[in-house]
Amino acid sequence: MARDEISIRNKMKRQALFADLKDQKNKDRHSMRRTRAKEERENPELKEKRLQENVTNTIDSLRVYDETISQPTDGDENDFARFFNRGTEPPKILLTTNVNAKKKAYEFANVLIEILPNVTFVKRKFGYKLKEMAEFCNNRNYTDLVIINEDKKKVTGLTFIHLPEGPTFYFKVSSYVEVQKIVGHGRPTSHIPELILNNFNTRLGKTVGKLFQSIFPRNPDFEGRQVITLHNQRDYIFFRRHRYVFRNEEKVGLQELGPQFTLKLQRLQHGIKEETEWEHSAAMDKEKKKFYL
Amino acid sequence: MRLLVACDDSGSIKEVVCNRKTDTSVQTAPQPFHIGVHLSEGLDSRVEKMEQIFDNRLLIARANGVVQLVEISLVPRPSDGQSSELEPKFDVMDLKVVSSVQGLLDDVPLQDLHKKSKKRSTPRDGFVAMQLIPGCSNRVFCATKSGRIHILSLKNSTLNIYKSHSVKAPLEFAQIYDNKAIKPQKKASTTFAFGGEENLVKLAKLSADFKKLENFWEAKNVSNDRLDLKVPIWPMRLKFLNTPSGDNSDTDDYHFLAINRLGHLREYRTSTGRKPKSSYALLSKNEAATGLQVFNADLTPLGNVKADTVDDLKIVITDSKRNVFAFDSFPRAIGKYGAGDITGAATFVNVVNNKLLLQCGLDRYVRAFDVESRSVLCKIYVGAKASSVLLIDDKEIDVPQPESSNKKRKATEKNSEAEALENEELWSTLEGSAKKVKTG
Repeated sequence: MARDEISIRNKMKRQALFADLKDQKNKDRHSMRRTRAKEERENPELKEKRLQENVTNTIDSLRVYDETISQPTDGDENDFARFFNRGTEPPKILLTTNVNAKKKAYEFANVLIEILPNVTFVKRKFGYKLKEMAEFCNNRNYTDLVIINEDKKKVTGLTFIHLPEGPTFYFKVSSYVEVQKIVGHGRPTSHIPELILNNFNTRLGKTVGKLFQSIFPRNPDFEGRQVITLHNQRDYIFFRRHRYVFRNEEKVGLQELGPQFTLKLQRLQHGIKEETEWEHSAAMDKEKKKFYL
Repeated sequence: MRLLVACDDSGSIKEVVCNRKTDTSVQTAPQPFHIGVHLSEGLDSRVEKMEQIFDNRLLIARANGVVQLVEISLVPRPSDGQSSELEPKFDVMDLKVVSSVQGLLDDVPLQDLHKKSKKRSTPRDGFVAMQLIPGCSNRVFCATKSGRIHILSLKNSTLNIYKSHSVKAPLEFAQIYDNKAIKPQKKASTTFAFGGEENLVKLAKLSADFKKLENFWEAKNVSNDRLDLKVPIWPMRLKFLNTPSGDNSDTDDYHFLAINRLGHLREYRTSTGRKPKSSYALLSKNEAATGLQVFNADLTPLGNVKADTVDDLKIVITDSKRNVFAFDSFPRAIGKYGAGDITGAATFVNVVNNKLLLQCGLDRYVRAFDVESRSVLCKIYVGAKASSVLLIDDKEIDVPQPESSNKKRKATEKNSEAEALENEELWSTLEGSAKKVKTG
């Protein structure tokens, strides 16, 4: 509205006028929508056309071009599988914590024992180096070593080391919600869950996806109806666990089993914590529309 | 520009044909004209070392212990039959394995050494050097991590193991001395340096017939640090320099620069003693140096430096994180190559003709930098972790311009006067409106 058109000096009257104008605008919009809905009910093609034309821009859809998304993975499947399980042997995981861990780390370990298949928890003792731990695991045919990192009585990170030759992933853990705090949560069973990996598109994302694929066996128990979802959105990986329920022949319901937490990849290293393959740096957060997974 | 890149994931060699300013990470930037895959043998047989020995011959060393002699030929690029007039015209390479030898690696010596090693992953033997012996075009020098030194014979395009020797393992590098010009008819011994984890720099001599190997010099570790603790021994790379006494002296006087894993740059002169003449810490704590190159001096064919002193040298150092640092001789950091853009550790850097710095690594990109300005000349995504790059030629490829674009340019030139008038009008209206706002 032009500046010289408003000449009412009384503030309350001015506000009332503005409220009327806004109300009128809302009414116009609602009536426009009603008529549009009516037209679209009669002619569904119009709706399709409108939806095609009016696509909302989101940060995800405006992401910076990444050439690794469109390109096929180099090397055949066998080569990639050398780093990960070939599907013949089930994963065998050793779970431990950092040195001098506090109660929270052990609580989180209890949760992970329920989630990860074929897992053994070993209390971390002082004086063992990572190299010795890796050797111990290799001698006992463990396929992965998972280390919980606790700092100031909070679980802050998770390290996944694929054995015997790496790679090593370090994730930051945040937004942890206990099972008991999820309203209407169910009780998980010991069935091998199905795995849903969402939006792991880039070459780095595919490597991270392969890590999770290698941790869970490839033969889920479908009768358990349990699903683990790892949903990547803007480089944050959301962990969720559900059970699906067939309410009737048409309707399917979801029951959350918990827990919920979010992972963010901080570092990917070649071998057992050797040369860095990718590392998150603060400068990467500067560009809001560039994503790496 | 034509590059050959050794790719780990598929165990192949990729041929990249591109011009300067190529950048695959920007959609609007020029893209490579051609990426061809050759000799794919899988991850276990990935190429670790590549060396162009003649114009049309290539030597490659694979992780499964095979060294192959490859013949390079140029063939016309197969056209896809679409708008061939507008496509740049160039030939592509055809690589053919002519001969190979196998069984050059041995994991067993590394198993015992691994117990004392600081490396965590299970050790696997691999090639640390493969070079044509200077002054002897039919002998190839191969060194492995397990301390095996193989001399291969190259006769009538056939590779054979001529002689094998052993030196103290483990090895991180083996560098042949080629600063002195060797006359082809004169049978001279070959000197090389080697070293590795808890294996101090040593100089060894191969007799003229390559049948005897003799260690004749060993460096001494620097004094203990201020806490009276032993400084770890782990030389990573070494470059020979000219000896100030001149090329003609026959005395065993060698001058070299070495970098160790802690990032200490050390200068040695064998005639003055076994301890380094100088030692400078270039990297901060917890950073591990992995590579060394000199970029402002003439280099020998094997990468040694044709300079008498280290005073004016500028060097490039890579670390195990993602940095490619440039230092001068003070030593003082000059800057970083690819600041912030490189996301994975650089496994290979090489300076070509004092102009180009070729870099590749675990982030699956191959980059070429201008050595002095440190600007990126081209950046190509090769889709696999790369371990070696060879620049085959540096020629730019002509890109035919469509005729219509020239016409358009002419038309815009004609209209430039009209545009200037329009601009003036626009400015005058804008200035007028600005004044109005001020008065209102």
